Amino acid sequence: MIETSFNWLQGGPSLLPNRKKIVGLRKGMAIPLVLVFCVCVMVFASSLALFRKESKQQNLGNVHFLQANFMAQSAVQMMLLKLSAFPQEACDAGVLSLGYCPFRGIIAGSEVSPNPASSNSDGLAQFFADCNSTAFPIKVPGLSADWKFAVTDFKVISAYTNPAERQLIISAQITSEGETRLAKGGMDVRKEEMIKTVKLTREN
Amino acid sequence: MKKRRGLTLVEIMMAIGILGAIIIPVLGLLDYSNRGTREQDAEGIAANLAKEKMNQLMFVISRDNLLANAGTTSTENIKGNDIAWKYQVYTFSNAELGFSVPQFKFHDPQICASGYESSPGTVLDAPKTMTLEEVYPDATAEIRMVDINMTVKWKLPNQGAYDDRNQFQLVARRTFLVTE
Repeated sequence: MIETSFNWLQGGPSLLPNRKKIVGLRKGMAIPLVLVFCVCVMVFASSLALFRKESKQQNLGNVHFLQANFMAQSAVQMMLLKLSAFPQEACDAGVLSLGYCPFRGIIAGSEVSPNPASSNSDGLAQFFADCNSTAFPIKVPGLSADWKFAVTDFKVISAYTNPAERQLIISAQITSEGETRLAKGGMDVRKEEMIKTVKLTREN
Repeated sequence: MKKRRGLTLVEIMMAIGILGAIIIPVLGLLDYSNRGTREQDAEGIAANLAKEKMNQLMFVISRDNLLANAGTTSTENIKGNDIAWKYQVYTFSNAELGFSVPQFKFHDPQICASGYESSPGTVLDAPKTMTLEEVYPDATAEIRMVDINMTVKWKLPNQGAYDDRNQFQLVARRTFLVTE
């Protein structure tokens, strides 16, 4: 059985194409081969060009992100300045947004919004309304009006009274947004949001 | 043997022509890509450096140093690329910083029984505007808010001068909080 299966090696009927056929196949192969090679090179070249374009866009995207991110940080900075200058008003606005009386103690761990009917968030809204680049325009000369920032939200996330210190302690969340436009590379407008949590205290 | 013809001269000439037409532009593209990679690398380094420097100006450096070093150009050489940055500071006076502050008319704490505000709709009065000059009358000249404009430029090792295309700016506002 084994011998018959290798018959073709020993002069039996050959399974390989004969020499004439190989020569025949070789005819006119140079141009197709070169064309295939050229297609491969062109694919490689296009991927190089595409990679460079992508890489450039990514770098521009990084710069654009930085610009918008620093704008958002600017809004938070303004809010922090206002909170440090007017801490009592901020605390009162925060307590009112919860519906509590600012003169009464709040038990730690209690529900932060126990009585929606007695709450009013307008004080908080008034507090952050002017922390933006519209109320206090950016002074950098030649800067486009597309560079702007604003505090978009200010809300209380927890509140309790420390009876030993007679202090009302509020944790509040500042949300800000920065926006810039980058003329290069068709980047257009980019917005970045930033959230910062602060602790406010009111002496009672 | 007669039928063992190889490639014809015409075929070889055509193949060389096609190869040349493709390879020469591709070699140019390779050089362009290589140059682009170096440019992108420099731009990335500049962006990272700008972020680091701006963070220092925003959160680390003291107010006095921030104001004193404004307008000075600093340079750094990273991986053979020259990166230069400069910042300008634009100050706000305390008189300019007039904030709108909410006013409250809470109920009398002596008669507060429930601990809740009984009439939340009437607690808020019209907001009033107060400047930081009024809030801190003893330190009116102290600067509490500035705008920072930082420009970063970079050039590759083989470039003679800074190119206006290779630059960007970062702008941010910094405030100086009152810690009592």
